[in-house]
Amino acid sequence: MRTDLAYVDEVYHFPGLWEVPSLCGLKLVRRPDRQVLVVTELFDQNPGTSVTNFCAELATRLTAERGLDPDKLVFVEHSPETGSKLESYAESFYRVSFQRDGARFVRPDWSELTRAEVDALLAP
Amino acid sequence: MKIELIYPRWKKLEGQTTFHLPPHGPVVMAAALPPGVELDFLDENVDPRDALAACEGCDLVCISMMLTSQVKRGWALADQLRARGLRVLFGGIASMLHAEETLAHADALFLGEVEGRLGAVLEDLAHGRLQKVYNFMQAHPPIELVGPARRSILRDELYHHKGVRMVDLFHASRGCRFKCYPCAVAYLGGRSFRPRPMARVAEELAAIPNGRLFVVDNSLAQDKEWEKELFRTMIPFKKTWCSHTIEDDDEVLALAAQAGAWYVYQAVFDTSDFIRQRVKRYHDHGIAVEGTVLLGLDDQTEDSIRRLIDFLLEIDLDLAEFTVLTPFPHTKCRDDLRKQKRILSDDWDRYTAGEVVFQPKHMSPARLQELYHLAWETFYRDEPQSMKMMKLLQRAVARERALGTYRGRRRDLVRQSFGRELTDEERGV
Repeated sequence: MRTDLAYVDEVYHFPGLWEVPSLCGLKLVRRPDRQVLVVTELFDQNPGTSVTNFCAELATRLTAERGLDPDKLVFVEHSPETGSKLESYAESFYRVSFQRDGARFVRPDWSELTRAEVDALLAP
Repeated sequence: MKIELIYPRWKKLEGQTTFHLPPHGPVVMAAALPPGVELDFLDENVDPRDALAACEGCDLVCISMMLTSQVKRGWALADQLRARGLRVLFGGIASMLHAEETLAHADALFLGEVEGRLGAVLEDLAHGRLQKVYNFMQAHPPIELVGPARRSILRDELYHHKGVRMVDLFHASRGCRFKCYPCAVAYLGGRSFRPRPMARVAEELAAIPNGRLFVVDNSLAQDKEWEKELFRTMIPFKKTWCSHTIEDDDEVLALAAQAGAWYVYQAVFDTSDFIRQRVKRYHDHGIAVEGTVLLGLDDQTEDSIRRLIDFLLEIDLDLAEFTVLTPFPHTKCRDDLRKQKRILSDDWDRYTAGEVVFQPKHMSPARLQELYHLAWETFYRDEPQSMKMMKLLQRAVARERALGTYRGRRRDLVRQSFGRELTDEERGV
């Protein structure tokens, strides 16, 4: 399975559910009014927890580690093109909104975005 | 120390022939117990004994769960047992898939593979320091530690239908290098393929009296050289076996046939020539094929499902098994449907793979449910499932007679089905 890395600037390693070593792609773009995190599922390369299953924990963790402003965070989940014949493996983007419990992000809710909408979020 | 090991019951699919295979997880777990432990096993699916009564007086109840549709029963049992003051340890793949929920019903939860680990757990229990979680999710034990499963804990007579013994389950490897859309194996057993040493495989094959096996490895098509070595190892044991997919290679298929490949479960996902040829090549080597057909994928419309059903009849499958796409935890399928707000139920009792619990893309849930039933009815209309299974059984018997390994039915159990007396109607009287 080949993975499109167009929205990956670095591979981010994290302890997933039950501390299972896991990884995802990461792109962070800081704009004056928003801080956009694109988190990419790496399928074959990821030995552990999926991005979808861990998005609230990832948002919490990355906000703290990268010094992000939680009020300006735009969290985008990316499932990249893989070349599969199955429609379910077609590229997709979701903006994930969360509720807040102190410093923690909780209860994720997903809204689908187009690639153009993601590019607009990343643009200056 | 006295342990009761329980395998909870689950709701069987309506309108289908029900066979109860001896479960694999419990016999693998039992093999990893240290010496000196008194163990009784109760499979609620076949054993008429009351599970709660069987646990009286034991030091620990272990509940082994394989299926999502088992978990609610397992949790209910645990709640009742703990209310009686008994301590309950959960393990097995469904306990791993539902770990967070299972914790609420457990004194302890074991995550991962058990070899070399249970002695320490029982030590903790004996010294009053049982931990809430034993987390070995990705810390796999050395594969050479996996010895022969302890099948002696099974009540053998409960796994017969009309005197015919069901296949025994056996595995030659763990882990899977594939990560398929509806499957959670990558989460459970890791992405690295871990073959057992062939000496261990041979040791276990020699220890199984049953001549018929189900090789339950996730897929045998993991490594061609390993597959060939496995089949060469199996040939002298003269077993007859079914398995998941075998590599599509003439040399491998020929060796598989020599080793006793009886039939394979082959996913049929479209009406392509690729599938047609795949099935033909198995048949060319004398290996029967049970098509495993998943309904409800986003690519499928009503028309394409109807075409798929027709195609199955055209390609001369020996058996077919239909399931409905089900968003089991820790699968991409569940991730996708969750994001799209298409999961309609999280009642795990309904996660049987025979009930639609999500919103299909191109039809209503009710329509997909109808098509699922239509698929079963259409495929088995001209020749019922029981007849097709009988034909497969006859092939196994013919091979065993030729090899001199045929054992015949247990005459004392010909009027029973999985421990239950057959009715006159079932006996054809």
